[in-house]
Amino acid sequence: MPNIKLQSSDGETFEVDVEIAKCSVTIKTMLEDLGMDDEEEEVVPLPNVNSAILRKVIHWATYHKDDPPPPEDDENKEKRTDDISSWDADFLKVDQGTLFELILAANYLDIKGLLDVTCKTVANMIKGKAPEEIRKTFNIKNDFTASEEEQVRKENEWCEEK
Amino acid sequence: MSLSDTTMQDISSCPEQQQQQGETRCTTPTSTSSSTVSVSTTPSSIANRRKVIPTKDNPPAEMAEWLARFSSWSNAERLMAINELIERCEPTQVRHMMQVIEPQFQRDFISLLPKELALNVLSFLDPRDLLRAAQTCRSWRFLADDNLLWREKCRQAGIEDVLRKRSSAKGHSTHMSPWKAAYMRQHTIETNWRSKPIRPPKVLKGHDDHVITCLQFCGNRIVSGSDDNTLKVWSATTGKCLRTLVGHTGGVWSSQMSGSIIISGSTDRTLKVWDADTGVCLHTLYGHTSTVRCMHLHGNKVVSGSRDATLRVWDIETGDNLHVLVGHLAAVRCVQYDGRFVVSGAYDYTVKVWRPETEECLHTLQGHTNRVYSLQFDGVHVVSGSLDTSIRVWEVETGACKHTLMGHQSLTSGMELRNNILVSGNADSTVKVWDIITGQCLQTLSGHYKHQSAVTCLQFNNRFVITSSDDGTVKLWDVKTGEFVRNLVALDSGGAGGVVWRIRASDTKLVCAVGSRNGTEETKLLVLDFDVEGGPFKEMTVGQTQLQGR
Repeated sequence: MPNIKLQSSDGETFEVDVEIAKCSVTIKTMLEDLGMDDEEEEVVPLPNVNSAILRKVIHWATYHKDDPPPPEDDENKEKRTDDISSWDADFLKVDQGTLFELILAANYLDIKGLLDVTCKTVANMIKGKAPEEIRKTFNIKNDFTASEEEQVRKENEWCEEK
Repeated sequence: MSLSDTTMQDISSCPEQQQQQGETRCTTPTSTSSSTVSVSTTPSSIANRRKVIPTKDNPPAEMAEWLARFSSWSNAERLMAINELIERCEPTQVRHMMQVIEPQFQRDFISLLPKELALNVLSFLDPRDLLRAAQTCRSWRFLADDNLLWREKCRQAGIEDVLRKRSSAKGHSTHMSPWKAAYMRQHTIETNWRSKPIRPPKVLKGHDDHVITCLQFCGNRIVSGSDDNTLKVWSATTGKCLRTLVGHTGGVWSSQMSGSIIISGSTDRTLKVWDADTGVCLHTLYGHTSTVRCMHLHGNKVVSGSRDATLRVWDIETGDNLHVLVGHLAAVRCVQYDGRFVVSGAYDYTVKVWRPETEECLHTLQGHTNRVYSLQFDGVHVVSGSLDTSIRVWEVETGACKHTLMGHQSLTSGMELRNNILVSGNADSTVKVWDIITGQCLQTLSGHYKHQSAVTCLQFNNRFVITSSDDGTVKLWDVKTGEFVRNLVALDSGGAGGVVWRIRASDTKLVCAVGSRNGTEETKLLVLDFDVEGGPFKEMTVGQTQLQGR
């Protein structure tokens, strides 16, 4: 398989198998639009991704290179978050800043599988937590006034069963 | 290290104060200001969190110098120094370090991500988590209230008709997403069915000590038919009897309702078409030579089945008898009509499929070894329940028997079929849930809280099964798990003669026809309301455009 070179925002160059790079729809489209020539040593600039994140993205894409193409968004499919593979879970044991940048990179590079699993990971950090716990988890300041907070609490009261 | 020890202890005892002091110090050049400034403006150095001084005005003398030295080093040197420093720290000091560092790596994903990505994250949350998320801060609230997000939650929960159901529920301000309001309302109603205290039912007394044989309920209108020869039209909201339909000379044993048209069948061998609003009998349909025991209305045609072993097709607008279907050898007990086929079950043990226009019997479905009492027909499958204890699933096109559902021990008295799920109520006091495609029994509604006597009637939706019984109770079950939820009605006279003959339910109301054969329970209708408190609700003053989402 031929390799291509990807250049991160901070100037680092990564040589990657073309097929792996193409799991990014953005790169795939770029290559097609440019009419990728095998002879030429083209460097694809990725001005929105720094080297640390690009390294992680390539790591993820390499592991997942033989995955079947992601299914089309099925309207009727239930949105699950308990189906993250253990490899992905380990891979995403990173600080929130890195996870944040991975989401942005997955979105920019248009890698559906990575975007899905990173968003699910954040959703899992929210699930089952009380508002105060959520604030603590993400270092959020409660900017409601006392009366707003009371209103919001009422509006979002979950009618408990039993 | 004695100096740093005291420092760290002070910090861990009062970290917030320490941090404040550190910040203050950055802007207060009490000592070597140059080093302090360089500390606070060097982002790559993790020096920030070392703004540590025992007291505000009294920093350790050598610290500024120490930090200046650190600042002068290269990245590699600093990393090494940090490693060495950490190695010399007590565990509590390392923990403190983590506490200071951690927030620097926290991200408020929902507020900081582009809106469509934040919404993508939120789309993975279930409604309950969305409600909690909305309470964290303003920007989370804005996104967690997104109308399209809630439309998706509604879709998943099978709430489709927001236009009909949208309402300004209790305490919910009008700016709330219509889909969220619809979801919240649905959830409240479901909780009302499942677990909230049941409000005292409306009691609609009528028909004296006679039996209520059939029950219709649609919108605000309830129609009860009785062997006292009459039908009564009731208001579901006020509980008032609006009309008594008098004219039959024998007991009423079957009825249908559509809009304001009511059709009744009687032991007097006739059918009558009534205007529910005026109480006027529009037509009396003569032709059957014995009791009209069952009927099914489709459009302006009603098909009636009689003890005379025939079926008749009538035009309810003109009162004309369009067709007679002859072929059964005994009383016709149940009938279904979808506008194309007539399907009938009879005491001759057979089920017949008819094409009414040509009056020809297309298939005679043979297999039952006793009387057929109940039928369901979805246009493709015919399901028949028999006194032989079995339920059979047939293909209407070919007449082939696809499955024989075994498991009940007595007469299947009532069935309902929706989306290939069949629920059957049996005189053996159990109810079963079946998949008619595979022929599997998915659930048996029995166990400790099961009915104590024959099941008389049932109804189900995608959440619940409601069943009534000769034991005087109406029970609520979870359709998915098959678990008993609770009794919705339990007559004091239950077991001593009080029975529930018929039930009909809407999303928010349950109508029960109750009474007894021995005088222990007066004949009446009970109307239970599970709507949100204070309902029915006014339409919200939002336009269609707003409903399509922001």
